[in-house]
Amino acid sequence: MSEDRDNRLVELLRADAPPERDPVFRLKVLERREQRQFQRRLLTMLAGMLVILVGMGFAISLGNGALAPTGALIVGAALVSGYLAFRGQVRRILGRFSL
Amino acid sequence: MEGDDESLLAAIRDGSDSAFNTLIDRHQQAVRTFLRGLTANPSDADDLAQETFLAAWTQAKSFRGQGSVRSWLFSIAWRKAKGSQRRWFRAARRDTAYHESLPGEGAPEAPAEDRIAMRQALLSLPLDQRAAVTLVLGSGYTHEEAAKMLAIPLGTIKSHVLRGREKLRPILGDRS
Repeated sequence: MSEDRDNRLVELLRADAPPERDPVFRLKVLERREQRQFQRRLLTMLAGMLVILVGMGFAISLGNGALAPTGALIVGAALVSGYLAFRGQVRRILGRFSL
Repeated sequence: MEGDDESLLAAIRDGSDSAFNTLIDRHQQAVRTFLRGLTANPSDADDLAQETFLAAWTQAKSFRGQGSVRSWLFSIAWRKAKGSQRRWFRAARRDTAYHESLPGEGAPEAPAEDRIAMRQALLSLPLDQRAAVTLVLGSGYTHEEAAKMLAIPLGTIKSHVLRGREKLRPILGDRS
């Protein structure tokens, strides 16, 4: 009797078990991982941009605008660095618009 | 990708996506079943299970091989569950009844009223006790294994299981 009850208890505890194979769950995990990685990259990129902008503003202010070309160079360097760092994603995005 | 769990983790450390997929496929049912025993509804449990596998991906290097990979995953799940405890209690009152009325995928032969009664009884247990009961009675782990996974002394685990079983038995009533 006691063993029957224990077996029934175990059966009920396992009643809410998900299926053994669940590709949807796996896809959700992978999707969440992609989102996290994207967010991390985005934050890194934004932080980098902020540092560059602050540095650029500081550099330009030093010479009353005389260093504006330096600022342009810094922006250019930042853009090239950004492209090199994220060229895979940039190409993928541009690829969506190609005919 | 096949292979034992330790090899899978080694591959995950090297960034293998297919190893990560295999790890998820191999352990998702166990981890989700454990978490469903702890939370008020399956969607909370699945949310935590997803976080558990993400943590496994990022913390693969922290696995020291002292126990099985599944035990390690359960330890991560348990830490996640404890961290989310406060949030569940708020949500549990709101939507427990609705979610519990949904059919489970695992054992359709269990009558709905029994499952609801079991879930309510489980939720009435303290979290530590619930985890011990779910692991030992529900998943068939030994007291020693459960103690390691939950980082709770063995004697406490034994007492949790004993008391938990006593509290859950009455819900079976005359049906057993």
